[in-house]
Amino acid sequence: MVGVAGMVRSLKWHGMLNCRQIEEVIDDYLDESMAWRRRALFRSHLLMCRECRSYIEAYKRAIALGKRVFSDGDGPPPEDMPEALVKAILAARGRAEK
Amino acid sequence: MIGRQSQSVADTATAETQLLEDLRAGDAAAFEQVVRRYGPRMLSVARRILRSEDDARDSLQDAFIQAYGAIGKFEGRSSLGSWLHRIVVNAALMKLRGRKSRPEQSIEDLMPTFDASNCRVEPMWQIEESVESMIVRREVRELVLASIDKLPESYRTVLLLRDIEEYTTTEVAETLGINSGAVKVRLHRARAALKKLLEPLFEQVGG
Repeated sequence: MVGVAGMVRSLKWHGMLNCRQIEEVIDDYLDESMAWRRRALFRSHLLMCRECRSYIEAYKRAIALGKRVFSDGDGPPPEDMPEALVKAILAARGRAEK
Repeated sequence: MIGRQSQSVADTATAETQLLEDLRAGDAAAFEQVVRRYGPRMLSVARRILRSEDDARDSLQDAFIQAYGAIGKFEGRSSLGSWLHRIVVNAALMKLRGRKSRPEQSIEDLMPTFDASNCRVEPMWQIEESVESMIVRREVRELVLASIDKLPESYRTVLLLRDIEEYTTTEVAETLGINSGAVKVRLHRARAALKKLLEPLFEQVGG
């Protein structure tokens, strides 16, 4: 007897995007550059596929954490340059001028 | 209030124009001013790409010397800060290419899996905690930084330029000398790999 999961899997074969196809266009979906018709197909798949819904939530969270760690994790840029580095750069400019 | 803001913007533009003229004339004090004003942010950028303080400082030095040599060609279509930002990114990438390549984990090991019916094989995640709440935890920041460091270099570079430095796909392609299609593929694979490496942070629920 075919359960719900089996029915969902069989529906995925009937002119709808499969999970592998979803994978190929995730970024287009997330940055909203997808044509509306394709977007509708993408969303239809998500309605039926909890694995893809789960994956996309984790995928989005990974992107967000990556962006935030560099804006927060390294702290704001220092107010000053290490003085030794400033001097090294100025000296290098002096050599380049000669 | 709007008038004062416009005046402030105009003053900044005038000051930058004067600074550029002085730089083009080879004025040493102007160069030092640029180093002190833009250097800290440029150093942060170099550190993000290189993850080595010595290499970051070297590439910053290279960047300023390149900028000094090329100031005559700077047409002012972007701000001086944006121009310098690009120069330090390029200098850091050059440094990266010059490094001995280190053993890298294959990105294939970090890609999502599908069964024979092209259906995704994926745990059910329950992600209720906010990004803000997660990122204040030191172990989270350490894992995220370590995970980005683990990415193979060609994927890590695209991720950094696109997601962190906020270059467009076209700008990444031009900077790296690859086509836009390759940028999109590498970005997606980098993000997918990062997600895999960050799975220890996500709560798995039964299903």
